[in-house]
Amino acid sequence: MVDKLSSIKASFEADVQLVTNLEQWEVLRVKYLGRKSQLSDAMSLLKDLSGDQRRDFGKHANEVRTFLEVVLEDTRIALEAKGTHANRIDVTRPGTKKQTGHLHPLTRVEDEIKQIFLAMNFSVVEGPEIETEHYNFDALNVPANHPAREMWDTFWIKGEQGKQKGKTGPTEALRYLLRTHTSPMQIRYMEKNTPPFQIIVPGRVFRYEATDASHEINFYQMEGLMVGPHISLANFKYVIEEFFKKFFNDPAMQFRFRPSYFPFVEPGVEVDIKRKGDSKWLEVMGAGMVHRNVLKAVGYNPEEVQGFAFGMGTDRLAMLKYKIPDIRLLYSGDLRFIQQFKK
Amino acid sequence: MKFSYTLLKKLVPEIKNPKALEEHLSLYAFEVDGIEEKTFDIKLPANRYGDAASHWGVAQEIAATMGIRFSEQRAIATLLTRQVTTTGKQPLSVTIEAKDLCARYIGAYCENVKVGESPKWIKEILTECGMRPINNVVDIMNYVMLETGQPLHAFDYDKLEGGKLIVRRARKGESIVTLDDQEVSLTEDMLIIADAKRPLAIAGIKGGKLAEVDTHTKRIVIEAANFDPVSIYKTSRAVGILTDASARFARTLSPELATLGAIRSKMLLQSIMDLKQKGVVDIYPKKQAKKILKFELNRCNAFLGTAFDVKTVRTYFELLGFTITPFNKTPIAAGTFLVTAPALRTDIEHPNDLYEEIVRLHGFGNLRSAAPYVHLVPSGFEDGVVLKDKVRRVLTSLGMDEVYNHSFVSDQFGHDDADIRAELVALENPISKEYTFMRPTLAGGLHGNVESNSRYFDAIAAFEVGRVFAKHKKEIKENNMLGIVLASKGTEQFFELKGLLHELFKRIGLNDVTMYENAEQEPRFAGAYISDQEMLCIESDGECLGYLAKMKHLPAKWHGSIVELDMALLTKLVVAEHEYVPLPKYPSIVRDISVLVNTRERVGDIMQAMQLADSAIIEDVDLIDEYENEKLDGKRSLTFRIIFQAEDRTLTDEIVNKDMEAIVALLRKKFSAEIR
Repeated sequence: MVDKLSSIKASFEADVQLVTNLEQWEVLRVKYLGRKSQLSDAMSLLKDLSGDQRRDFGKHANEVRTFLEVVLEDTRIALEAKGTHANRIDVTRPGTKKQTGHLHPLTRVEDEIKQIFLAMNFSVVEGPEIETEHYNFDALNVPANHPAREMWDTFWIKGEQGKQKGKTGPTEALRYLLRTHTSPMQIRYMEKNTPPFQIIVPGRVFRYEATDASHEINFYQMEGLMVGPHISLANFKYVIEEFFKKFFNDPAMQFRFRPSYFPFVEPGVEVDIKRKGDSKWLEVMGAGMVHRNVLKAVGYNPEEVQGFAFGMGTDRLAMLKYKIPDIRLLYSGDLRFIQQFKK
Repeated sequence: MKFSYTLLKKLVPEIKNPKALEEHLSLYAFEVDGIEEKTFDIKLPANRYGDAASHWGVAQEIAATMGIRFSEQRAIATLLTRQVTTTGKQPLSVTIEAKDLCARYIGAYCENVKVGESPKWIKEILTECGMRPINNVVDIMNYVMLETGQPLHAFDYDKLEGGKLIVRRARKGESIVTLDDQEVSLTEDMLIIADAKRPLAIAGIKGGKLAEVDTHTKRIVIEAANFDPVSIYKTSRAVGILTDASARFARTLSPELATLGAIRSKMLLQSIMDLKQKGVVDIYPKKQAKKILKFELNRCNAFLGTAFDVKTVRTYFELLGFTITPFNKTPIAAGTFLVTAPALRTDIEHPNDLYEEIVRLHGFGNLRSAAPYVHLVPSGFEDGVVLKDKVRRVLTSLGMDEVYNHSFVSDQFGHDDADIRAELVALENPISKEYTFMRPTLAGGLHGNVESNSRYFDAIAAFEVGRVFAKHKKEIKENNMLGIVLASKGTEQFFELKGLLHELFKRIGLNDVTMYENAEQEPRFAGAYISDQEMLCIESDGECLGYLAKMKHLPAKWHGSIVELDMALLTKLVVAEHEYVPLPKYPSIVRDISVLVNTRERVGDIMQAMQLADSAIIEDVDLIDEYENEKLDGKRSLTFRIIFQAEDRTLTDEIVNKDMEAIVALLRKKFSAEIR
């Protein structure tokens, strides 16, 4: 019996030398390892043997089988590699070019901002780009015929929509405009929800101004609003510091909070940051405690709830993060620009 | 607003140098827009013109924020309490007719005026503040405004008809020639200062030529008044004249400030020009009430998230010149007391305004940061935001680049279609012809993207998610849209885009989408960019989601196709969850069939007919080849691949052949197809 195995092995060793291509190799494989091979026949006799003999022969047969498998595998690899240089690929060749599409840098920055705030339990809502004068100004404590309105250069929508004419003249609060900031969503959201809550509002806003490297007639803002019974200015500082440190991935970032004025907050602050390596302070955010008149305008009791609001320029953050020198690139539709943003 | 460093330094000698002052102001008080030599350009908040549109006010602010008591604080407070009026026969008569627009009017009369140059020190300060010295009278008026914040005006008394000043609204048809020779037509809502007959000044905005102080002037009237901010603001805008005076009045001044202006001008006229006032009229019917606010330290600390003690806040209040008195005999040390703000602080109306003062003097930077205690509720994104994000990821994974275009279209948009023009949302004040209307479609922007990028690329795959606008029955409609273009030099892109769209729908969970030809349903606003003969409507659940069409007017040799979809409808229609479908247990059988049909026949119809053929085992039908040439004589060759699959058994050739025969019969009958 054992001789039989030896002769199979010997005959295989002779045959394998003659194999020169994969077809012959396949024939060889079937001959020696196939269902009708000699080895297979020999194995089928196993059941007739008894005890020690059986164990002995089984062990031997398996050794031969393993030997055949290993030699066959090596032979196959050698045959497959035939004709290529030194039987190996030149791993230093360049890889095949693969490309998927590219998100706009503003989408990427907006996503990052959203994720950071989502992790701090903020929700994301959006609002309309065409607003009424009421939501964009009046309800935000920026009354008509007040010079504070001049802080926002406004595009007005032509037409009579909503305009009421009466003895006192047109009700100007019903005029339509392109929102100059995302702050109207503070009002829209508060009108429909009860504190406590915390939201951010990304969106496109518009300013009537000449375009240059740092000004566009449309751009993006990210509004934030957190209101509850005990939300303080100190809380604002915490949330904003955490946000910027994460966003710029700079735990040692320096901050500067300066007094500022926006009619819908009090006190109003301007936030400057200085990242590792920055030589100047960078203005990144306007914010403050929600003005009591704004809380009143949405029917809240300012004695019971308080909170903070902030707004930042998404474009500006993208420009700082990616070192983009000109805001107009963002709206140029130039795919050579868009395709740079891969990471 | 421009300030003189020389004057500020004189008022607060502790100021070290301009650089230090700039830094200090911006951290504790107001933003500094720039410094040029000795001119400080300070960005005053609109609510602080009452006290801080003046060197005294800014000096008070600087001193307080430096932790120093302002040396003039007490003197100014005392001046504010002084009587202005003189008794006896008044040479000047003043009447306020428009009582609602003029809270106070002080008119001071002086004789023996010698108009000439003003002293050098006044001229220097004026120049530092960007003002041109004119003559001693006018310069003193301006200087006092810079010092106190109260705008003043001087009239030549001898030019007043009847020795009278009347504060009234302009009459229909009246006009005035201003000091700088502009003729201004006045309307009935504008407040003016007139004599018995004619307008002499646009109140609070600009003086007129008629009563101008000139080199021959012998007697003058000095005006220190208070006018309604809204009226001044509207008039100033209506006549297009902005002055130092109108800027201040429009932002609310206290009528008490007029006292400072009157007294200070009297002092300077006397010391510089040796003038004696012969009479002063002060019409001030409703004296401004004192603003006394109840301050509660615990509320202040809760609002700010701070732990200030009474001593600290008291110091801050005193530095600012606020006075503190007990509330209901409670000891001040208990933390509840009354605070009276200086009369000029028109911005202080509520305890919150006091909290702001405290945190500002403390410094925002010195505030500790504290994590909020909040009720944990699941946070998340609105459905529309979630879908938008998903669409963006799917499309980029399919090789598309994202673009952002402007929200505007040019004045040429739809110029040959009056209906379209009527539905466009127009800007009242467009910034240029290029940006006149709000975009009603994303197609224009994407079409432009193909054109501009065709210089650098041979193929373009881009998309945009953005709002479009149109008027619908006079109402403005704002829709969030998804637009996709595929364009390439030399190769057709329609079917690429159609296939991509199907993949997108599957990825976002939109089942049951049909696309069909319907020339009637041409997209309203994209007409200029697409070929309406090669267009499909995209429908799901009976709603028209958008269209897919071949683009026209692309650069030579370029082919492109475009899709626009309504994101709000998509959001409504997508299903959130996937459902598992069992994997096939038995092998499928594939059959190809080539047919020759008239070119009129639509592939979509043929495939749909095959899908609906009498067979329970058709898994999928696909077109794998299309061929058309002259030899085929008005016909084209189509090769379809049909996959047969049964859930419960292995299919045999016999069964499949039977169904194939049925399909062939159907194609012959319905489409007169020749089987090849």
